[in-house]
Amino acid sequence: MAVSRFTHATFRMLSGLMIWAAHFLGIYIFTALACARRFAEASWLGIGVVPWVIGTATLAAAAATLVVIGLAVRDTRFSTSRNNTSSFVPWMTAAFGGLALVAILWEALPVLLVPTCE
Amino acid sequence: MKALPNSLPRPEDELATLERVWRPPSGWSSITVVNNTYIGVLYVGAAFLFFLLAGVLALMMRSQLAVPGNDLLSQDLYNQIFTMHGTVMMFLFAVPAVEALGVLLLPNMLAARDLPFPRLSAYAFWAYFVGGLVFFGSLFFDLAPKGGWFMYPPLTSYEYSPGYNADFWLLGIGFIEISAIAGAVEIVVGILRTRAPGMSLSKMPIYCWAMLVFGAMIIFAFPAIILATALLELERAFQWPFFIADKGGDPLLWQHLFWFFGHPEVYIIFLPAAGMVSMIVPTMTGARLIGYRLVVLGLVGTGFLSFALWVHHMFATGMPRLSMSFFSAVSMAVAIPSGIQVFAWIATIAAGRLRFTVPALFVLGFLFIFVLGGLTGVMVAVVPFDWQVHDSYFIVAHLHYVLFGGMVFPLFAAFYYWVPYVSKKQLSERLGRWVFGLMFVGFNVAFFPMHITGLLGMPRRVYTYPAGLGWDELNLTSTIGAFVIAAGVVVFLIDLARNFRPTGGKNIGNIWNAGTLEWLPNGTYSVRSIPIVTSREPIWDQPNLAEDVEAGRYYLPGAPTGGRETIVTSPIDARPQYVVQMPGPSWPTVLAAFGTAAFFLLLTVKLVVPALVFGVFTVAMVVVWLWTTDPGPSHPPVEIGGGIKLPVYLTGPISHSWWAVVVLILVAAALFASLVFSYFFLWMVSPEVWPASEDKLPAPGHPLVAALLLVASSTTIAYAGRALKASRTQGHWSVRIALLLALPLLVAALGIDLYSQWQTGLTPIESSYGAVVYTVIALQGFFVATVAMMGLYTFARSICGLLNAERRATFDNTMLLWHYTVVQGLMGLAVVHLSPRLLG
Repeated sequence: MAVSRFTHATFRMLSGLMIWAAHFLGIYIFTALACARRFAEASWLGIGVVPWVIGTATLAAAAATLVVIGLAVRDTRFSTSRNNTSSFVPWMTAAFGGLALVAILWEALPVLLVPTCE
Repeated sequence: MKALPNSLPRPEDELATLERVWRPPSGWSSITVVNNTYIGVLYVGAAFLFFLLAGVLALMMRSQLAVPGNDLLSQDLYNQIFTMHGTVMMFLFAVPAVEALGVLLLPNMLAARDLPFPRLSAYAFWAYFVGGLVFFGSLFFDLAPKGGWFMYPPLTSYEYSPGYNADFWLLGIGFIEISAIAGAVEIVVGILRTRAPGMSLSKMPIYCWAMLVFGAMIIFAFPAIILATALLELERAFQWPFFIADKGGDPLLWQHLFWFFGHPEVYIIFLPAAGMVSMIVPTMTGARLIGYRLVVLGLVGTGFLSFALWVHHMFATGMPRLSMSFFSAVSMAVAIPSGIQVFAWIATIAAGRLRFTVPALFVLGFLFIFVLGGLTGVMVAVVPFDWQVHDSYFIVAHLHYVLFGGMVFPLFAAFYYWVPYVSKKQLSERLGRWVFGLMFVGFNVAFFPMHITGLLGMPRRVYTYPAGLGWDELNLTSTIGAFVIAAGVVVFLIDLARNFRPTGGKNIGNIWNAGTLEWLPNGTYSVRSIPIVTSREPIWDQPNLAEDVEAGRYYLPGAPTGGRETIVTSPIDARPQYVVQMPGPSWPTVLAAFGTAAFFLLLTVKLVVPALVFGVFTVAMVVVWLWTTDPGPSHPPVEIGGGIKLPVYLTGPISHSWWAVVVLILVAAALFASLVFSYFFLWMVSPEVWPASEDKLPAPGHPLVAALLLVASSTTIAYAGRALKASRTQGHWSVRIALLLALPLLVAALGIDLYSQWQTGLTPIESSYGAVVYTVIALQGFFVATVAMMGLYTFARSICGLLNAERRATFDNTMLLWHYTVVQGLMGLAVVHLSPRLLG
């Protein structure tokens, strides 16, 4: 059915950016809660709870985005025509994934440089 | 050569029928016109009128600031003027202008006869135009808002802003929000479902991509400002303390909600302008746009990332540095997709041979100014730098470089580029060069010095300043520049008066040798026949396209149903699916628009009873307007050419009306998500006003019963849907009984929830907790009232014999929103009853 095909293509194309959105909201909300409710001081192995959570979330989001990109790149190889929708969707999926990956890594970087709740 | 879908000669009366069907109304009825060619021009004209009005306000401000210690304007009037300048430019000019151009250009660019909901476009235009004029008129009665275009509380709440001024902003722009959302529904569904056959996503003009992103951004961004204005108005009118710190509120909640709308708003304005540039550059260079897919990446990527930038307007509010750094990082990351587009335009200019026409000059001016604005944008994305220049004239310079450079220059390029598409005469190249020169020089003379004035410490929004602070000459220079811009605009008006001759029919056409479909020969009916598209620049690549389209050799060369219609195509590959019959001119649509504007404006001045009268009048007009828009399979399938026979009516997920309701549900979901965010934000900052123990909460039985009633209501509607499908007769009483039964279940669930909160002694005025809990219930109440009206309307159509197994679009629309209301109700119960128990 046309609608389900469209929905599938849309979610697929935007999957990298949706992973980025989930990562961004996740780390922002967790940091805000940790500072507001004062549990940011908790630590494990000398590393604070906020860096732990952001680090883990970033690795998970980056890995998921890489999977999205990898699958999309594989699919683009099967298509030859540059104007063909069948190559357009995986191409855009990989491109959005690449942008999302840069944004995910870039926004997580401050945790290495900036104090958490000051 | 491959045979075209229809052969020649065409039947004699075919073209005459097409022209008769699409002929605009005349005399007094002209006001009811719905065709995009007319509404689009009126819409653009109205937006430009507000640009002129807000521009006059800018000149008044610059005159006041020309010299130190000036007393031309009083402090209070100056506050009203700068507030109205920003508000009118953003809400009444910029968003409507890009939306208006979309309404005007998209149908022809997609080779559709019109967008799928022409009356909705007309409604959006008239509500905006009438309401906007009255809103602007508040300035003449000392009633204009004066809290700045972003209206921060507590300054704008009841204590510091008594009177109607702030209400004019909060309620007065309600109709603009409705108008913008109506336009977004029209544009998104139009782009996805009425493209020419063969125009797959990968062949869609970049402008259509930009407008698709624009529509999607309105869907997710505007609900935040709708909620924010509702909360502040509730605080002002009924003392519900969302933003009052003493009662557990927080003024920062407003800033979060406002900027969650406000930053994407910048891109809502910029991306369509970028789309225009991506259309103009290839035409002016004679080369295809370099990096089509990368530009799509740039548009969609910018749209997405722009939703994570809102806190960069709040760097001075004392948030944790790490939190601010996330937003700082995304503020820099968004330069990547923006930069991709800039490099694509530069590469295209380098690849071709640029003709230095007026549109090209405005595009070059845009590139220069917007890049400078982008660079200062990266500077203010750096938190410590932002602290230094926050609320200074540096920010005024930055935002004008981005908005004027990023939107106004492309808009003028678009005026000069697309006037031949709607006019019998092109604008003057000679005058156009003067317009460009004056505006470009004037802009830089006016706004570049403001960077320095800001770095020297001059704050925004001051109505005067003492001499000797080093700001005197800079301000005078800025004022001179502002008047030079105005001179450019005056020359443009002269050019319009001398040369612009709008026509719904024959225009001067493709004078630029452009490659996209809006340049095909057209009339009030758009193109004579709807072409098959095989490339991104069909006019360049498909020989004789214009002649064959004009001769009627492509699809749907006439009006086979005897009314207005267009082809609905599949959303990815644009394969023809059915022919949609579209409604024509209608008085109720225009009256509903006037009623909407009157409702909001009367509510603003607390004339509640007259406002309610107009509210009821508006609903009645909408009912009359809609009554004829679900025609059912009233016509047998029609031949469109090439042996393709299409049905003229379809229901279910393939139908364009189903898509429109899904878009509306996304708007509703975004509104609800903003409210849930507000709930948890207030919980985070003021846990002391939340119930300390479970015995302060309603007993768990109440929400459980309410949830069961909601599920029962949805189940009943689902049953009605199946019963309707199975029914072969007009008198399907099981469907009617189910509709009537589902309604009290929904109302009862709402009543139980309201009662359960009230009997605990909770009131909405004592704390932010009470206020937000009752707002969750009130929002649910709004949706219950809406689906109740839709349910009764569906019931009435059933009684009148207008509902059956095939003719069921009205029922489907009601069913979709009904299920959404139930899901929202269940989530509201979980937030209000479950979260305090789980989170403590």
